[in-house]
Amino acid sequence: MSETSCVLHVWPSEWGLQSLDPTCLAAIMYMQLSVPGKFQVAESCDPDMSPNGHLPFLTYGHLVYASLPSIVSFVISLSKARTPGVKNIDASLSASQRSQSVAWWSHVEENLGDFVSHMFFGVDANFWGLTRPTLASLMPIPQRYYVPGRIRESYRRRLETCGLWCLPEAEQERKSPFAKTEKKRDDHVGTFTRAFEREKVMEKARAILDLYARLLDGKKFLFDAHPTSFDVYLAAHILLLANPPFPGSVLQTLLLEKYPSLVDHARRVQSEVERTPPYGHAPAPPKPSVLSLFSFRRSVSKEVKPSSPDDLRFRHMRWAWIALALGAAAYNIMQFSKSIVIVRIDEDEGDEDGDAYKEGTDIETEDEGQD
Amino acid sequence: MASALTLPAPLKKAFSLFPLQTYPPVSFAVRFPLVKPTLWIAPPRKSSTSLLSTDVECLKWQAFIAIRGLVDVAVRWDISPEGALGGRLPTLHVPNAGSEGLLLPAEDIPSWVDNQSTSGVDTLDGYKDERAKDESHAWVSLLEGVVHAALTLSGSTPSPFDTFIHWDGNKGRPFEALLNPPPAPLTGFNSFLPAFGANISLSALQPQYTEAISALSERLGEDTWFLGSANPTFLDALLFAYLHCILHSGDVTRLEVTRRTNLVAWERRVRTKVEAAFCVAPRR
Repeated sequence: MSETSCVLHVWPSEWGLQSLDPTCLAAIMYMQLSVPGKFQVAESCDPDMSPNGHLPFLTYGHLVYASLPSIVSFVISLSKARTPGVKNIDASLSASQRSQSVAWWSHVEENLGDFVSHMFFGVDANFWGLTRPTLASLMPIPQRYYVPGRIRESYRRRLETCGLWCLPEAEQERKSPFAKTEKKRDDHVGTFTRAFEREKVMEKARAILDLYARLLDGKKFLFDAHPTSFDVYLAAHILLLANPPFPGSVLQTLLLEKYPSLVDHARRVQSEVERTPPYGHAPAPPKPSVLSLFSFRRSVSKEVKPSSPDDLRFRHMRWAWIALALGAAAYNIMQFSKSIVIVRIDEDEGDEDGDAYKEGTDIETEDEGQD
Repeated sequence: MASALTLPAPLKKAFSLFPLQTYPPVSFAVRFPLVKPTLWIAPPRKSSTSLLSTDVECLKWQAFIAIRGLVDVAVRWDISPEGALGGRLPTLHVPNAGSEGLLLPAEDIPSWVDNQSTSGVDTLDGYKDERAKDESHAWVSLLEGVVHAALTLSGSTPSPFDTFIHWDGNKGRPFEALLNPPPAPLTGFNSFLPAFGANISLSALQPQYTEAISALSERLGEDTWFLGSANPTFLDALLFAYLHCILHSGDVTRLEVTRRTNLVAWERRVRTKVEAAFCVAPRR
């Protein structure tokens, strides 16, 4: 498998981690463990390049694999075909463990994934204080103003269904010019709803994190002596909850203080990954930008193509056609304007250069004379 | 105060032209008199052969009631979802001594079933041990995530006329809330057009769905009940509901399940048990 042909497109790296999105981070770590040193990573801010509209996606020659489960099954198929340099990190699992791993993967995707989206997009303070500035700094000019908001909107329905959207506490933290008067009015009712909502989210988070802590149960890795794909997936989510500097960090403090076993597991996976050979960076595709639309002037002046006799003839005929068209148009206009001249009142013998007022009075006197 | 203000005489005469007439209350005949506990469900496929609902939510609660050992529960399907508690079917209508009956939303059905059965409170909810109970959460999220999304995508979309005239369907979770990460808009994130549609298709979900079904089949093995529980649990009811609906859905999703003989056999065995527990609500 040649190195240049396998490229993984992901969101760029941030906060000491290889990517700012949990699935992308998991994809990079998985590839580093399964295909060490034989793939490249292209950092991209354009999820529309992917077939399913989301990053990560993997291009292998002419083939494209979007979504992390497809990437994992592709790597497993490569390892089954005994491609050199590819190893299946799930190979040592029994069939029963593999089926449990599928179920737990789905659980992390649904539940812990919701908490990660809640921290990045659900809490107002975090979105306006961390996520949006980070995404905007990575994106080109027109996209940075509307794409982070669009991405946030796409998460809204899901987070609202789980009750993890925009907590009332976060809305109060935003400063407004009328902050003093507003606070005095809303404090009594607001405090209780805020505390209640926050407590509900904390309760949910505690239940989920307890589950994973019980599953880990003091072992080094979840199923085996070395990390499997599920270890990588869980670690990616935990790292993205632990590392970024969130302004509204209640969930982060809960994770770091009460669940050190999960954080240790994530760091262990990270150190395993760091032991593998580093990956290369593919040249990033040119960023789409509105300014590129306005470069047609530059491209015309740069045109120094060697012209063949056919090209010259074509150019001459084109100019001849334009000249003929303009000439015909001018002739028609003159004819039309001449016909206008003929229709004018011929009492004045066509005296166009005469004074208009005089002409008018002349016409009037002539008209009166006729009446 | 009232005596200080009196209605002037001309107004009184004017009002007397429009007297208030009170009619006696209309007694309406109850279509289905409440004799036994009645479950309001979405209509079954063919009521002559089977009383199992076409909707996964309703079927899951039907299965739960049946596998916990209750019998002689009536079903009716003439009530639209807007008439049920919380705007969603199923709802349980239980006869209550003295009043018209007690209406229970779907979330309260387990506690009612626990009251009916004679066994005591079970902290493990019928699972083998704590580990199995934790694992059941994972299987529930697998079923309600990828499998549910594949089932929704495989169903034929009704024509606009159908949705207008006929029964609209139980409004479950909106489509964008089914998967994580939520599907990207069809127009893309970067385009200047407002976001529209969802970039999701059954072929995109197919690998994950296949993996989920093979994991389910592997984990079930030859056990009587899922996860090796001695008695049926909520997870069994959920699994039965999804398997039954998939076996009556489009070809692509159905074939995945029919390839696994242990799933088909298990579904058939549980189906006979579930169907035996229900009867049609007696009409007046």
